[in-house]
Amino acid sequence: MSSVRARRLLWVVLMVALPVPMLGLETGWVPVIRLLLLGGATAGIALQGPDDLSLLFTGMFLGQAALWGLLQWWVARSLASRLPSFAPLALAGTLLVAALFPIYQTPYSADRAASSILQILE
Amino acid sequence: MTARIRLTSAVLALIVALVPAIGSAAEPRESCANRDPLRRALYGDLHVHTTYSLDASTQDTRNKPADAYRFARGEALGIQPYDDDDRAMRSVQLDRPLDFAAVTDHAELFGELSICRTPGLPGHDNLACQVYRRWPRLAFYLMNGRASRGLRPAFCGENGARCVEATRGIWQRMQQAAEEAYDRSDQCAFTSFVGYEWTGSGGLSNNLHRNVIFANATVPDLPISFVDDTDPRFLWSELESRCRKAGTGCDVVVIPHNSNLSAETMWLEENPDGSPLTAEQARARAEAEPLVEVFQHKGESECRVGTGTTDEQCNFEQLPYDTMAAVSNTALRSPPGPNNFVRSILGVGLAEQARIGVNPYALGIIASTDTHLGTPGYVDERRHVGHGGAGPPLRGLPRGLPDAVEFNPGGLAAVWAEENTRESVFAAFRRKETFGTSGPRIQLRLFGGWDYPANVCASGEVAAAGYAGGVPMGGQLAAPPSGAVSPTFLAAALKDAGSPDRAGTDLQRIQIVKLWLEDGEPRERVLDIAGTPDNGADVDLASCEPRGAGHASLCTAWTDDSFDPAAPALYYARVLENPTCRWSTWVCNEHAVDCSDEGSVSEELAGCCDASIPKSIQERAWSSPIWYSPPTTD
Repeated sequence: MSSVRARRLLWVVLMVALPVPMLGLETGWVPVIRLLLLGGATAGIALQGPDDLSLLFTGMFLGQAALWGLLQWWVARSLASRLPSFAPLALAGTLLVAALFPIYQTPYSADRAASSILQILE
Repeated sequence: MTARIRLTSAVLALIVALVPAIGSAAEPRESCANRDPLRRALYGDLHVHTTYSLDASTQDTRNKPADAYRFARGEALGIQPYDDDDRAMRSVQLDRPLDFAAVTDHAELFGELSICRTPGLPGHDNLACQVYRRWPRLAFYLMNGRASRGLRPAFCGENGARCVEATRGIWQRMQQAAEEAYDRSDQCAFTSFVGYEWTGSGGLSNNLHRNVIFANATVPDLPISFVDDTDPRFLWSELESRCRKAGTGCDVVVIPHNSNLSAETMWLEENPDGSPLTAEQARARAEAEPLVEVFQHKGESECRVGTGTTDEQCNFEQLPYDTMAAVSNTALRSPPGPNNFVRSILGVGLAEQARIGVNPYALGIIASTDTHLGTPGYVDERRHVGHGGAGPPLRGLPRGLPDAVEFNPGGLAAVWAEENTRESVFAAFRRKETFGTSGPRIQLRLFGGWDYPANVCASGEVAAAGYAGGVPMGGQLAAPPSGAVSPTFLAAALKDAGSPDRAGTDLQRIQIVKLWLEDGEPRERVLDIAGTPDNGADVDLASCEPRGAGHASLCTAWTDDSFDPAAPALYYARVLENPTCRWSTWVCNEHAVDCSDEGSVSEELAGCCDASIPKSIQERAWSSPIWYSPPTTD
């Protein structure tokens, strides 16, 4: 696998599976994709009828998603260029396996503090 | 001619028969078997949330109004969390049924919740409803945020029509639940009231919340909510035109609560344009809001040490912040000021009375729980499960403190009424013959008059003498009769009788709180008039066993020797129990928390080691005041 493809793959997996701190009114550890889902939902509500809070939440979720996304892109690029070719793949695989377990602390949910990636995406 | 006279007579007779029924809000029901002309103490809860409230539903409260009334009548009730089979993992039950209750769900989002929870209703599939179902806590912030600005979500349609229509269904179900719970038999075991909460906010989140309690089954076709208009004066005027003055038999009282979290905005002394209240405005306010909830789950609103008082009993169940937002956001916390508290505003009322001849703040006292679990009257310190007021959902059974440590189990509303019917209890609300307790079913009487004999307590006829010789709590002292120098106040209290498996706590003392005007400014004086703080009673904090003796009852006739007949004044009684363990101490003891070993204390029990939270409390009851106004010269 080329380093470009390895970098892209690792970046996507980091976005989907790596828990990052989530700040705001409620806090937790979530993958960037959850921030994108929440930000997308609040953006949709804001588009239906803007108000201070939906705009604030949209900014909060998407702002954090952008920050972590950029950081992860840089990490993926660094790892893909410096590590042997199998390492990014191994790391991505490990992350994806870990993501199947409830390793995320997911605020704003109904009844669960810890979720797996499948529960986040269901 | 004779026939015409007969017809006219028949019509007149019909009118005469109907008018009292229309005007007095009387409802068809059997007479009570146990009517007491000297009135008896009845205990209830006038602040109860169920799953029809957004903040309750988003923390997974599933109990409905009918469930709450069943609980109030003594049945066991399941509460969250729920297992995978939707079975409640906790069950609670009162040790004694309540006498009355009102479910007061937040009216602002009845329609929105109904649409989001009912497949097939227009708007159900809207993104905002999907957020409600998938991320309820996010929906809590977003929907509450809009409602607190008087806005409806887009899925409500043009002018909010869809949500208004859906509100009608919820409102009817609430009325039906109250109707089904009301005991119309001659046993008069339980009285329910139709009610709701007007959930207003000012500024960022200055609490302006008020409960609206209707006298009977005749109510407006829709609740008047904060979304209709953000000004409480709109609420009062709408309730006047659509209820009290509608000629339908409808009557209503509005009961503000949590002035402690209002950032001093609950009791505005002037209009938005800076002009002072007029007599007409003051009268409208006083007629709409005869009562105030002085104590509940989120703290006490009577008074606070350092905000115009040095009364040491004003340190009871205080929250160290003064807005709702500060509950969850520590960055927004600032200390409360004087006008967060009812005692201060009672004094302002005296000044307003002197200025414009009307007291807008002649407030009677109650307390309640503000439960968000649908569990009215669940005030037991020993078995506190939290009330979940706008909190996050539980993730499994609580492993430590079941609630924010600064909160408490809440209190009870109490009335002196002839019988347990809507008519009798509501009449007590209107004449303010009410008192609040911090939980225990203490009985507290207060009468004011000019010639009570000194030995009235020994006579054993306190109530008869009290009514015959003066006015009860909530009343207005008559002008002093010729030769009278000072009023006498007859205060009597009985300790909570307890339940078969738990004795009530002894009383320690009765206090009188006197407020009066001097040079136009409110002054206060707090005196122990029966019992003593030095009775040596305390509580073993390790076992929570009370130590030392107190009183099963207290009674005294106290004369105000510093009475100034030219000064407006008011007097209310406060009775204190001997010290007992606070709810948090019970929980912390059960978990054997050792605060000297910080590393051993889990996050869920960290509140046990919060030095600002007392380990013991003195439960109490507050009477409504008795007012005195100097005779006018004109």
